[in-house]
Amino acid sequence: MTPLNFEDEARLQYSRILWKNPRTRRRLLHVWEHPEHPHRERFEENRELVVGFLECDDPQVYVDSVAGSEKWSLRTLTREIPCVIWSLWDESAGVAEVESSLKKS
Amino acid sequence: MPRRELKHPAQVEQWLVSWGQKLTKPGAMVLIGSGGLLWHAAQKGIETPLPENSMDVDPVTHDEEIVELCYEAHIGSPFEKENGWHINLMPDGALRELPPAWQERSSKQAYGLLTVEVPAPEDLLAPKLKRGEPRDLAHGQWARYNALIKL
Repeated sequence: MTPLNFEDEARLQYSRILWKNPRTRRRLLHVWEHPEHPHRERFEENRELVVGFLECDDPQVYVDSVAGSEKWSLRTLTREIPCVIWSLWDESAGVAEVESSLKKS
Repeated sequence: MPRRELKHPAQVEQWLVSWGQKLTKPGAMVLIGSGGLLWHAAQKGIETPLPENSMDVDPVTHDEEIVELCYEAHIGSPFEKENGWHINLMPDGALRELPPAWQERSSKQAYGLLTVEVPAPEDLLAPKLKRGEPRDLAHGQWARYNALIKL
């Protein structure tokens, strides 16, 4: 098993933390689903797998359990979590606030 | 953007005070790397700047609100434009590079709702000295010069 480098480990650790909160999850999705995100289509293809990865209790156990696990490793599945494009992340703050306000009203 | 970067101990202290006021619920982070060394220097009232400026600080956290603040302070962010340096979130794995039992030697301080834990200077320097790059060695010399570690 190839261990994660710090960059991959940080992406996995902090994406999972932000995913737990509905508001920050909306911010991540705003970035990942944005038409300008270069990996948007790839995210859509593997969306169910990535969401399961973000929500599972143990990422390694999850990787070992998914269909086609011979294809996936902790490292390769972590790299399916789309990167955050910072300009879109900044933009997502306003979007998440508006959505929260609409839900409250 | 004027070149400022991170070199003065007071810069770290001011940043932590500011974030302690921003949190809406208690949160904790571990501060490693040169930011941690600057924190120790600030506690001792040392004003000597780092010999090799740093461009970022390296926190580790499990708190969502702090993660979001860190994301707001990424490279190229308004935070960086204002301060001249950015936040580089590090994973738990970075703590495994510290010497064993580092928690027993670490310092903790509260800034409002933010609790910051900083490994001892010797522990912060261990991964740097292992890397042995000129910048890391210069930070080691700076720590010795300022009596953060024993000669």
